[in-house]
Amino acid sequence: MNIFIFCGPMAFGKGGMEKVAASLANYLSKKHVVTLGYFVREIGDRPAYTLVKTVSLAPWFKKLKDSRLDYSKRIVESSADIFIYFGASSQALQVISLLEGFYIPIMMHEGSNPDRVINDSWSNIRGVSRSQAAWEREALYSQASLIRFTMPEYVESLPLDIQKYAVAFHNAFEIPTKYSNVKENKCIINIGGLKKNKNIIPLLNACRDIFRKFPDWKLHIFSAVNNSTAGKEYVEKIARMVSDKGISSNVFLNSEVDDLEPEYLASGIHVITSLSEGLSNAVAESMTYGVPTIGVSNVPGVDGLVLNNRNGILIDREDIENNLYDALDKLMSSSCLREDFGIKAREDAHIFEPISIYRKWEDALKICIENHWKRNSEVHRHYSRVLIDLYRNSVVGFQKGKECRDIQKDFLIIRENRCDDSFFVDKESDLKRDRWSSV
Amino acid sequence: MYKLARKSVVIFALGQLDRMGGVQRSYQSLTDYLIKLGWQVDLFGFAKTLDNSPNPSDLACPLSEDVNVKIIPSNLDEKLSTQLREEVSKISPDVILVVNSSSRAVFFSDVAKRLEIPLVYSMRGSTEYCLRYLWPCRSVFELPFKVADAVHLLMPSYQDILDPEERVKVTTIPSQIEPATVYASPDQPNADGRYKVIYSGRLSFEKQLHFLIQAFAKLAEEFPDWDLQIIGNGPLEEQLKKQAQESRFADRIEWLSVDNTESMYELYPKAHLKVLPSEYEGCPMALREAMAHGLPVIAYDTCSGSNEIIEHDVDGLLAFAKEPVSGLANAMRDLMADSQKRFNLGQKGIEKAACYLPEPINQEWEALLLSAIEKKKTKPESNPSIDMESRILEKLAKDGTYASAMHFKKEEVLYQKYRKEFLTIYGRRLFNDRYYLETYMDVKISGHDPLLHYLSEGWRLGCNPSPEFDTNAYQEIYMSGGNSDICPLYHFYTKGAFKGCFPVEVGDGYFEKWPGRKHREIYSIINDLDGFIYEKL
Repeated sequence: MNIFIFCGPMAFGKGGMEKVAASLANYLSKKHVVTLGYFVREIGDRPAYTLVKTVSLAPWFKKLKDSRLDYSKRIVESSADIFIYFGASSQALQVISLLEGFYIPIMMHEGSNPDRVINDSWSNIRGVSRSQAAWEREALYSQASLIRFTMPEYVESLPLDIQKYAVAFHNAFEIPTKYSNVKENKCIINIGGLKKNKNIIPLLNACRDIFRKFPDWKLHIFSAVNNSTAGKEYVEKIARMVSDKGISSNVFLNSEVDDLEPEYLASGIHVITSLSEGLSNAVAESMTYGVPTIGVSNVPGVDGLVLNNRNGILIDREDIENNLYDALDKLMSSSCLREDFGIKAREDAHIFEPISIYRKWEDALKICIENHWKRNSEVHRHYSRVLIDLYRNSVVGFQKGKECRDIQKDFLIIRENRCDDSFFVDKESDLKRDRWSSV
Repeated sequence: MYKLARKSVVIFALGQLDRMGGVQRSYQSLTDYLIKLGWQVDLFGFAKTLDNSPNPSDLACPLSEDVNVKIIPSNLDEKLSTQLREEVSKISPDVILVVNSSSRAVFFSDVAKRLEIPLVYSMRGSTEYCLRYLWPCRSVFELPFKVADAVHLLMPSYQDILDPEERVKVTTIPSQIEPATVYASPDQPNADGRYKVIYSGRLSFEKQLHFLIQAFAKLAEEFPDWDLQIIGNGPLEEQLKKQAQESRFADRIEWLSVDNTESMYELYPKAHLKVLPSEYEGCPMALREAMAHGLPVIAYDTCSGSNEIIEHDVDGLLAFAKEPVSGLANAMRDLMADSQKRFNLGQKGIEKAACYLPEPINQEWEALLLSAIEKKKTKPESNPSIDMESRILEKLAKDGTYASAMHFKKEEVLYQKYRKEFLTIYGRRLFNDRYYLETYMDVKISGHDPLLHYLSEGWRLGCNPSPEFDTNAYQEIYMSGGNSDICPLYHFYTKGAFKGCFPVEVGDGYFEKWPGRKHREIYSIINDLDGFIYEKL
């Protein structure tokens, strides 16, 4: 089977969704012909994660004139039997609109929680109301033959007619052969904390007090930084706070690293104070290394993986700093409790076992193709009609029927017009003149 | 009466006359000499910043007031050819000297041939380097050699690549260097107690300066009293400076820009070791000038020019090029650690450099020009083979395609065997003649058709037809690991392209080396095959 996977931010950094897309592409390319699409800011930019050679890369350089036309060609050239879209924002409109009228099964993977997608990444970005954003998302997702979420509760974000085409299963995470000695380790790990949305400040406030009680403990934050001015200013602010609170000798701000394994193995507690996640890679990875997590209750993608007082602690977001202090105090005071939670975390991490998760992906591909032939309800027909107007209003350069669908027709002509001898004879006369001529 | 007896030469000169360089300095020395002997010299050359008829003293490397200098436009077209023929006819020289290492020589040789004036062709570089990078293919490369009455090359080994009938025309004359007046003391530190490794030359890819920076960084800790001085400028300046910054020894690497021989001659006596890490050289002045000053020198054992000038372990060292960084570092260590050896090699270098003094070299030049005049007089009226070459020359010059045209002998039996594959692939983007011939130099030297070579044996040897198509990777991914007997590129154009297969880039740094050759458009199967549909329809 030929599979086209599109994950827009693949070349922009090492995000969680990008990791899932890269791992899936690598896995599927063992059996299938896989093309991986993504946006690039400069020609030559490559995915942040390592891809095996068998994955064919398809960068979309949006700055180029006619880039939609060129990219439609690239999709057609891939001879894809299925198109898997990884995304978590209204950018999906730009990509899925290329496939309008192009009869190919689409699988949508939503890489965040629906609330964040609709509010932050759709309504705010498009400048439309929340209800309009929710409607646009539904209309777009109705084009998919299967929608895949990472948490079961996310399915409920869609109307019932579309829910029938939605599935939920976790992401795969390698189960490491080594695990952390949490009983001895005196290090708190946080991943991504230098990005504003990760809500690190309550943790720093809690640390100010907790490190007075436990001066031999450290907090290590590993994080990419948003490259914008605001992103850089935020890091400066965090660094200043660490200094002002007098915890510079305990708190370390580290940049993104290629291999987090040594860091997890050196940790005793993982803390995630983010209030919005899809399915947190950091929680899943901490679990696989046997590191107990402190997270915030009712945060999708954290709550549900972290089971309170089993493999970690869930705290209430009201009075978060004091709650964090208490949770940290509880775990830092008791090496036995950390060990106990760590063992449970490893047991619970088996839900991420790659073999079973990838089997679910394979099943999902089959279901998606089967659904493609069934999906013909009035709801779908209605959404297909209104989507054309939505594309026209929201996608710059959209031309109905001028994208994949028409290019496919040209490509079929090319395929039909294989070389015959009369063609060769014509070409030969050119050659005698240009390449083999004596005068 | 005197005027009638006076010999006259027209020089079509390579290089920008408003810039300083080795070849420009050699024009100065030769024209001074010829003028002194009473020759009339007219020199046509390129310069971006000079007017059409500049004063000879305004050139970066000033010439005698008696030389007539004409600046010509860089666009070599039929109009210019006509104009040059008219101007040269008026001068009516006894001989034309075409100094040019690239396929532009075709244009100037054609001017000489059409005026039936004796022609001396001078290729100013290693013939292998010129053929690899500056000429599209073997048969076009051979044209000026075939039509010239006499040929000049810089080093004896450079004629090896030529056909035997062309070799008899060759005279080998190295370029001239000015004698030194102050000598280096390579065994003694400078007044500040420090020693210097010196490089001078362009900062361009063929000089491989990155290897010298790496080798120096490797030795810097072991030799804390040594610094590296890099003198020159060029397209890689920024990149090399960044590399130096990233090493731990940036403060011991000094960058200078010097644009005249006098200033350069002031720097040699303060140095202790000269390193020229080039991939190719012609007859490197920078190396011989250093030798003239008593400096020990190091170059790679595979570097043309340098490896004929340096006698290993006598007047310099030849570093092992197969391991470019450690090879260079080992040779440098050998001399940096041994002051007596530096002195001894330097002394021998002074003796060697004496062979390159201007007077005897200029004498050889005059003899070469005169021999071409004599040869033309005694030549038979018509030679079918030369006439054919002259007609090709004229056609190429007229069409303006001399820079990119490729001409190959048609190997009929092989062609018939691979006709279908050949015609399917020919003209498509993923077979790049230029890339193939530059990368697989043996094919270029042989003069064989590169596409036919790829189809008949190249792909089996793992050769890549273009930087955009990795033969082995394609086989591995789309042809079940490569056991098939089908040429992978043919597979792609006939099957793979329609099944979702996509070319895999080679990743050999080709476009980093030649950014100007990068396609403006990302590869698209449909665009590549588009001509195909319209040809068909």
